[in-house]
Amino acid sequence: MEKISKYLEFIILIIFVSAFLWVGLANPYLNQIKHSRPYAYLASDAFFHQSVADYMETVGKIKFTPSYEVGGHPLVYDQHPPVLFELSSLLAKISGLEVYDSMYLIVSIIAMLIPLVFYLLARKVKKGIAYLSLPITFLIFSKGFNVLFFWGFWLFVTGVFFMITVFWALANLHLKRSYLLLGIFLAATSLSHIPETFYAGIFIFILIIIDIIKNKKININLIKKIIVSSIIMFVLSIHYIIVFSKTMLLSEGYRNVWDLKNMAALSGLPETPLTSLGIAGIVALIGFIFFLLIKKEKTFKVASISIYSFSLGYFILLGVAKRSYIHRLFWFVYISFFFGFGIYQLIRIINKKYIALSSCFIAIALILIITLPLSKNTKVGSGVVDQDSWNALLWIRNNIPSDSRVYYFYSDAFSHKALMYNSYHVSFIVNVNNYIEKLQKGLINRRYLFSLADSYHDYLCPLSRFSFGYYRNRLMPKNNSNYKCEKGYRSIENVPEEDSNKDICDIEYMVFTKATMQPVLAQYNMAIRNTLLQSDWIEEIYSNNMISILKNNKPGVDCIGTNQ
Amino acid sequence: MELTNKLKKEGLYILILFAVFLIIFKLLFFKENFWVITKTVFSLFWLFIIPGFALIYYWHDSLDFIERLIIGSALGFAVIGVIGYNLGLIGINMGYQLWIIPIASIIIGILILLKKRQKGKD
Repeated sequence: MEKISKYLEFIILIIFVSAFLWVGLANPYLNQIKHSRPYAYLASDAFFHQSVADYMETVGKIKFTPSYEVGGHPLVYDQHPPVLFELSSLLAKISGLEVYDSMYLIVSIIAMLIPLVFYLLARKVKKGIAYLSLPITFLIFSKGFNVLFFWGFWLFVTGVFFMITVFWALANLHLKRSYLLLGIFLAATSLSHIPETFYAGIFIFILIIIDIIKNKKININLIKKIIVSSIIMFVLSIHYIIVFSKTMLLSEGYRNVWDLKNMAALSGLPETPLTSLGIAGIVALIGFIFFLLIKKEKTFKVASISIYSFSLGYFILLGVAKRSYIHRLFWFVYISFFFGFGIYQLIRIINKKYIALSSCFIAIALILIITLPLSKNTKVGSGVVDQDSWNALLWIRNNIPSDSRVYYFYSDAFSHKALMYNSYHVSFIVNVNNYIEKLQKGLINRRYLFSLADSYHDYLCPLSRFSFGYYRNRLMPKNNSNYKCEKGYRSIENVPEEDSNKDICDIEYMVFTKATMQPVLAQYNMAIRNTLLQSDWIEEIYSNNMISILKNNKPGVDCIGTNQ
Repeated sequence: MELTNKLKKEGLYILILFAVFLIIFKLLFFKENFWVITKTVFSLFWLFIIPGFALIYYWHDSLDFIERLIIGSALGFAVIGVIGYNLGLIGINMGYQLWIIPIASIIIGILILLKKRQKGKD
């Protein structure tokens, strides 16, 4: 019987892994691993992470951010947590995949491991409950929740994964030298996404307090383990913690947002109220009621982890806004134990004899019932970048001098600014509102507003081996030898007027998109391009079905025949 | 002896798992050529699954195979991410990291086993 149970477990896990990779990866990836461009990337954040990892893979280590993402500044510390960049870069290097493919692959596998770690926690109670906890986790691919993947909240996914492994380590503190596991998982969490380290810390604090109340004394052994693990974490993540404390902690820090009614909009996330959990939520609630009625000690660990993780979605009440609200996207995983527990107890009422076997078959049936209709939610198409725009970026990367700045006129794809990082050049995109205003007036002007493609609030740089400074400007000034990394925190100053309100006759490289969702914008692009090409010194240096790139060989000379 | 047998048996399980993953990946990514799939699955095993499984062997008598496989993979991701990042900071390029960390993890795993076996004999 034990052998059968073991095989059953293998089978259900293989079904789970296959179904998860099918819905989460093979489906959006159109059943291919390698692609000719980033696939299923639907937002700027996704391109941002991909472009940083791509740079890290090229230079072979993670320390400084690419200069073209910080206005051309050299040696600016990368302030985003490094683990996902490290994992994707290494996988790309050894497998020969492009970073944009390896990163999505890593995120999908990590996302798959999160329910599996919950599975391990539920398994300590009963295998049947663990089996039944798996199907509900697929609902993270339902509409609204699946933005986790397609909008590029990948650092968060990695952070949640390691936070859950920290909880697993805490549930297994009885193991010999368990502080090693706790320490490395804590370090991985802090190098993946700092808010989750903070949440793990609160959980540990609550655990210690409960232990003291329960035993009416301080458990020295527990405290020792926590201290040693924390030391391991600090030693392994000290460099990043310093960088974080001097950048994001100062620029973002505590969000202090209390507008609870508009939290989704303020967080840039879809609305996910409690009711969005639907029938699955009701089943989990039944499981929760059973848990309260039965109150078996074996269930306390996993139940407390589930309840705490679920409550993270309500930490908005503490003013942490997006850092809490986003946890709702994982609610289906967090409540999976109670879902499994609820169904298990219901099966038990009907049939006690073959409960393990029936749990397994019901779990498999539920996986099929849930995943089949879900599969259409993850067929999101090729994403925001078309092949021609991508080819143009690669052409710019390889053919335009690296210190040149490139200006993009309106494009649907390049409105996701981080996509332009893939050109490896400091890039500007035309301001849409200003552009439409001029279009409506039917004018071709010399001046248009442009914004710099960048992603940081402050530029941390090294002053010496052990001291840090900041750059003052968002855009690296040209020909200013006095400009350097300076002492004292400062958030960066905006791009100067002469670079943002740009005379197009001063621009050396201009990128025009030939087709847009709103055809009139593309027509306006083409009208400007055609006017510019009337000057002998402006030439088209690259063209495909979608993109035309012009080079102005005499920047500064009147190229429109008007001084408007 | 018991430990050696266990290791042999579980080594075989890992090989079977590799084959199962190859099949799953080929079925899911049927438009991809087999060489790309083999390289991808091998890379996942080399970087994450095997190092994690080797390191988690320290707890082989307290955790069963499934638990070690899952949490070992998580450990593999953690070790590669954390140690790799720190190696990079001291100047060791990723080109070396992808060999150093898995090999070191496997060696540590073997040393743990040898020590445990020695203890068992004592």
